[in-house]
Amino acid sequence: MATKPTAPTAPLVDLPSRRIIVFSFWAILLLGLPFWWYTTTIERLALPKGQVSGTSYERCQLPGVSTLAEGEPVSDPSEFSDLSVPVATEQTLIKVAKTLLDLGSTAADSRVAKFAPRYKLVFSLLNQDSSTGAALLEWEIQALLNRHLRPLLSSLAPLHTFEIETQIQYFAPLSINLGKDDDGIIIQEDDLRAFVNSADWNLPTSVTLDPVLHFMLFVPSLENRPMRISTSRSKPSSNAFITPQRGGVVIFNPPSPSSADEPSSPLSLAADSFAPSFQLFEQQLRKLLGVPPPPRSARYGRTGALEGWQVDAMVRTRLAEATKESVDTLHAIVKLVDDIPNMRVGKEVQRGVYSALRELDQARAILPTSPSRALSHAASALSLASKAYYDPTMLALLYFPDEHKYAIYTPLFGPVAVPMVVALMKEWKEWKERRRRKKAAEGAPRDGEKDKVE
Amino acid sequence: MVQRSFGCASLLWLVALLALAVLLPSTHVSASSASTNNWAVLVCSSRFWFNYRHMANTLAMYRTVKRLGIPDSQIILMLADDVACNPRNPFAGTVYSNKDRKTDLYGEKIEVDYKGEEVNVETFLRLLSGQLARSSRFERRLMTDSRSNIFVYMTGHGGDEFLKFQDNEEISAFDIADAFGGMWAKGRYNEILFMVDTCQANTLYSKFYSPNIIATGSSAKDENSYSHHADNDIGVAVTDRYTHHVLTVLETINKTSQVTLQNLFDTFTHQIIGSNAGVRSDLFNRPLDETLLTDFFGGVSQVELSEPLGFREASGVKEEEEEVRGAQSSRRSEVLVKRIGREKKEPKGVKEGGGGLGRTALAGGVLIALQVGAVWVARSRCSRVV
Amino acid sequence: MLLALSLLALAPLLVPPCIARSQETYSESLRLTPLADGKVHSNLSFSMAGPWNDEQQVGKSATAQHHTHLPSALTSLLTHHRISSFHLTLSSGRWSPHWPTTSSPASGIELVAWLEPDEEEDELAEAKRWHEFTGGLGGLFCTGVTQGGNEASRPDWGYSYEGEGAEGETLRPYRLVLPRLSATCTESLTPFLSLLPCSSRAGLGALLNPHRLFDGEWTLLGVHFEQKGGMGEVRLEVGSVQDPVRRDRLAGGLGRRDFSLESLFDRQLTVACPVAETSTVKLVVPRNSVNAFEIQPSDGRVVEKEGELEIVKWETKQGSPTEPLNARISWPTENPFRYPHVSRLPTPPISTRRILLGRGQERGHIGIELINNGAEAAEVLWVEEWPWWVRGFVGSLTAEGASSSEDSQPSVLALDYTPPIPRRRPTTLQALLHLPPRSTSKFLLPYESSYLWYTEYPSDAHRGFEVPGALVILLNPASPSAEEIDVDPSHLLASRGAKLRLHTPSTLLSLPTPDFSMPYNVIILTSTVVALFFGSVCNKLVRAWWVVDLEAREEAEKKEDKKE
Repeated sequence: MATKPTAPTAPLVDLPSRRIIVFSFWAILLLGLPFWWYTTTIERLALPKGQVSGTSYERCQLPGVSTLAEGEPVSDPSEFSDLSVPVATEQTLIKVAKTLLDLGSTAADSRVAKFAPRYKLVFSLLNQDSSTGAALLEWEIQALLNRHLRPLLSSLAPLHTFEIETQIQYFAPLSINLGKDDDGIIIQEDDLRAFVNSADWNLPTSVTLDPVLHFMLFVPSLENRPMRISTSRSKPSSNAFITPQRGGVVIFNPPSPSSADEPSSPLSLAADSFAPSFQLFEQQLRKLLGVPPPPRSARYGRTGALEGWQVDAMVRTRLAEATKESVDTLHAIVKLVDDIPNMRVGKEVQRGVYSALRELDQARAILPTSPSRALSHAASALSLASKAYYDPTMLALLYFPDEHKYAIYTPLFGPVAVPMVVALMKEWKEWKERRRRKKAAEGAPRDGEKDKVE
Repeated sequence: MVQRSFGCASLLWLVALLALAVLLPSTHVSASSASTNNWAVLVCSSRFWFNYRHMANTLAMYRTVKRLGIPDSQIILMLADDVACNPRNPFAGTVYSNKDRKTDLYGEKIEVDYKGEEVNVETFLRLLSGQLARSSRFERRLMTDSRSNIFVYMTGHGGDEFLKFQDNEEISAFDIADAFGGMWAKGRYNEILFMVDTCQANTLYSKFYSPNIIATGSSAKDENSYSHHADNDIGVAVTDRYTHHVLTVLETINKTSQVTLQNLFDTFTHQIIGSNAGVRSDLFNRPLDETLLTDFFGGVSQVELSEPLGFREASGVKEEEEEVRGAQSSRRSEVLVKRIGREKKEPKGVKEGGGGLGRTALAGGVLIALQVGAVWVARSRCSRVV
Repeated sequence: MLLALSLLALAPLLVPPCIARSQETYSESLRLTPLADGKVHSNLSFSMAGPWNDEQQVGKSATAQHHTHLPSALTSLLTHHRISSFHLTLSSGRWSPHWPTTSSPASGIELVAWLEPDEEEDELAEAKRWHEFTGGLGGLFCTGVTQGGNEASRPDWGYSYEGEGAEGETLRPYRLVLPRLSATCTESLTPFLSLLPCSSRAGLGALLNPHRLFDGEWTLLGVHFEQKGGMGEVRLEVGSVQDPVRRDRLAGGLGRRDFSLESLFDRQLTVACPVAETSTVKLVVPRNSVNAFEIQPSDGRVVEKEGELEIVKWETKQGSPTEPLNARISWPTENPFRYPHVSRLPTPPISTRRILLGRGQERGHIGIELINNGAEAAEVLWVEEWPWWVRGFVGSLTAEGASSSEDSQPSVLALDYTPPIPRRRPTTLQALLHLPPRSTSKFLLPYESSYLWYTEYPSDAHRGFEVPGALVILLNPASPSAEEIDVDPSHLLASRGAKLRLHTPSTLLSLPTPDFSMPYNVIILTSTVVALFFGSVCNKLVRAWWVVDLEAREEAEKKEDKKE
């Protein structure tokens, strides 16, 4: 017989330490799993979804002027004492009240600029070509603003603040074709859409994201005067038009220079010459800001400071608009976050949503006492919600196909998993085998001797 | 007997008439798209001098879009490199897309919103979704709303479902699809015309899922897009075939043109373009033969005349609105009349949309079948009765 | 008498109603300098001034700002961010040392600004204001400014506040340099033109032809804003150096250096700007010209003296649409132009050059070489700004000199060094140097370059990374009557004034650039290591090997079989 090898003839590793080794491998793996999970997930802080879905526009509905149906006789005029409406007739009152109740309809008015607590108004004096002579090189703009726009702007103080900028341009060419007839130069109504030549006119934008409304006083060049807009309908033309939500234009034909002056010297006009144009600007501004027009039969003027009920109506309309938009934006944020699982939701977004909800609550709380304060809360809720919606950190991760994920993890986890799983299975089989043997051994203790050899 | 047979026949006639009413192509014209402003996003994603033609493509699109009326403030131009003032350019300050060098695309009035290193995937996606840094300037943002039509043009080097940016990163078709999906959710567009000129361009729009997008690309999967010609003095190719062809078509239209998207797509042939240009219109809800090119390429802005001072306005808000609405509807009916008139003038079969022809055929077929059926039933029944 | 009195009383009525004249002024000028090597330096300057910070109220809820000439795109940006003064220069090309100048601009884009101090604001908020201002201004001029929220460099030795006010003493500048090699193109000129009252339609703005401006040796677009005595002044300048000799040769001639306004700009001055107070064209009469020259037109011109120079001046308004002003100079007897020998070209008092020494991409020496051509010792301010990944070892700053006189060596008199903070703050070095007369000095310091993160490499990383040029300021000699007080070096520039400001061009520095396929390599490597070793280690620990005696086993089995 060959010499027997001196290698071990029985397993050297004793049972408990082998188990400990296998289980410690597994323990490290299981301890590491949460770390891996934590470092590969995207930060998605919790948004108050319940609160947001609970906030709906209906709940924010405003207690408007209480029930006044058409035709109902006015029982107690003192109810409306706070509206400061000079009630001429019942009809006037009903129309006024209907305006106040008509919160939804003006939302569809596409001319009105979107609500913002701060607007930038730019007044430009545009000379088509000041080198051909008789151009307007200056204007008394501060006096004109004070006279024609200050009452309106001051009465809108509860709603908006305004930043006004004025400028004069000396070369503002037109890009449309001009027609000619006996009275002068005409512009077709259809061409008005291309009148504002934004390519060549330097129309300033705002440094912040406040909306800008442009009011342009266009002075045609000497050879193109007088210039007017030809309308197809029988309506008399005012040589002015508005671009909805953007601004307005008034074409101003200066009086021809008197024979004493040189025909080509620049004109200096007193502020009164611009009065009709600025009254038109005021009208246009009213339209663009959504000022409800007074009833036809009202006896007070259409220019100047606004009546109390007009401001009140505007406050309510804008309040409704701001509230609805902030609620819509909050719903949209929640939906977006739910729809795109790859999108990061950071602290700024979470804070923005909470603050917006808080502002809405404050708006609702303070509404009965002061609608204009409620409006400022709603405005800040709107700005907070849209800041959160357009937050630069809320960007979805780039597309990473699943095959790439498998390709990266499989070569790493595969060779790790196989020996560990196999070891675990072997342990388990061994444990089962041992249990069976134990039971058998307990059954037949004396016969166990022989088995030990194997 | 005869009465009963007539009763069956008349019932079937009624059914036939109803079917006719339902199936005939309706003469209703899809209402002019509800867009109030047009925007353009023009992206050239490749750098280096030898990609001159990509810069030239984008600039030619820029010039065309400006000519047709979209103002600079509503155009976002992204150029990954500077070729006009590049020291290798023998004609300083100019970019040409044709070797006859008649039209200088760079011109004397140009605003490049993003250039050089700023043109990358992250900036592009942020621009589309509106999530630019807070301090980002107004003119560089895409301030669109739910009534804006956007023309997105991308050119560069691409492949199967990706587009290469700056030679070191890529954007995948899924990312663009998600960006458009996010824009739809935020109400940032009304309709999008997506045009891409790269190799395997058609794969780039295969993953879109949000509605109201019409997409067109220059070549199908596993196909290259080719350049058109080179200028020996500049030393590189100056334009690509697909873009060159599209621009040739766009040169012929002006702000009031009635040429439709279908007209444009019908001109795509393998012989002209050198590859299989594709169109994807399943997400678009209007028929292509009723969508004008100027819906995307033209600058639209509504105006409203102001009343003279002293003119008493109509009282109350509702009456004014009705007046405005009335004016709008009268204008729309004018458009309708014009369009129906135009449809009737056009001879059928030449430029008619395929859908209309199919529908007519179907309706005719059903009608005939019902007629025959009615006659057969009447005869068999009557004969049986008789 | 009564009549006289009544007339006197009525006199005010006889005066026409006075309309508030706009107090803003606008003036423009063009200065042409023929250079000794046949090139022409043209500098257009457009200056608008008006009352500043005069916001007026329109009721209680509206404020108004009125401007006629000052561009509102710029004024709204300045008032919103509360900027006291700023200088923005975009320049491409190289300014040759032989061209006479008192100040050459930085290569690329440079923005220096002084912000109005605000007590309620801390440093972080002020830095944020600066950051937003750079973004807004960069967007206005389509410069592609991409500056992260980094801390800015604040070299107060090299830039002195020129405005007025007590805060001027304490205001420190913010500086941003983007050393692009080609910083100007038509997209920067377009917004530039829109800031001018007459834009490119009238006046000297009509001469701004991008096809010629950017076809030269060197181009500059500059925007400057200063406040003085309640008035704000915006000054726009366009500089360009062009080569008429090359153009003549391209057109088939032998190479003449004659030029005129039309031949330089390919434009005519047909329309005068109606709001320009003065609109002048100046031509510097060449000194030391070997051949005779003629300057035309001769009518309507004025000859002035400016120091040692003679300048011929015309008003553009004297031209008419049919005969626009076309200032020209010609050398009738010179055909062709002979380039003068370098020794005959004018030499500046000092000249400077960037030096980079070393091998490999990880470390080297960076510095400047200064040549003092003058007969007297010079004191020079040296300002450097390097990106954060150039980590200099300022303790080893060396000054070497090779001078004709043995006794004097260049030295560093004062030093201010702000070390970089990675990814947040660039390196700023400011030094006061002493240069001996007629000497060449080298100032060098060793540096190490950092590794960048994988995502920080730009798209063409192997091209190199641009490092801004050095700023070298030759100070006027100290007045001999001044006492030997220790003047704070940061006030030297303000007290003594700069005789010459030079910038070295941008340089490209190669950084160690990794192989960008490394992430995939790392994944594969890790997976291989894991695959090969994890399994073996695990099994070795867990499995046991023992010898099975096959023969014994067979015997045991046979025994069992026998039993059964």
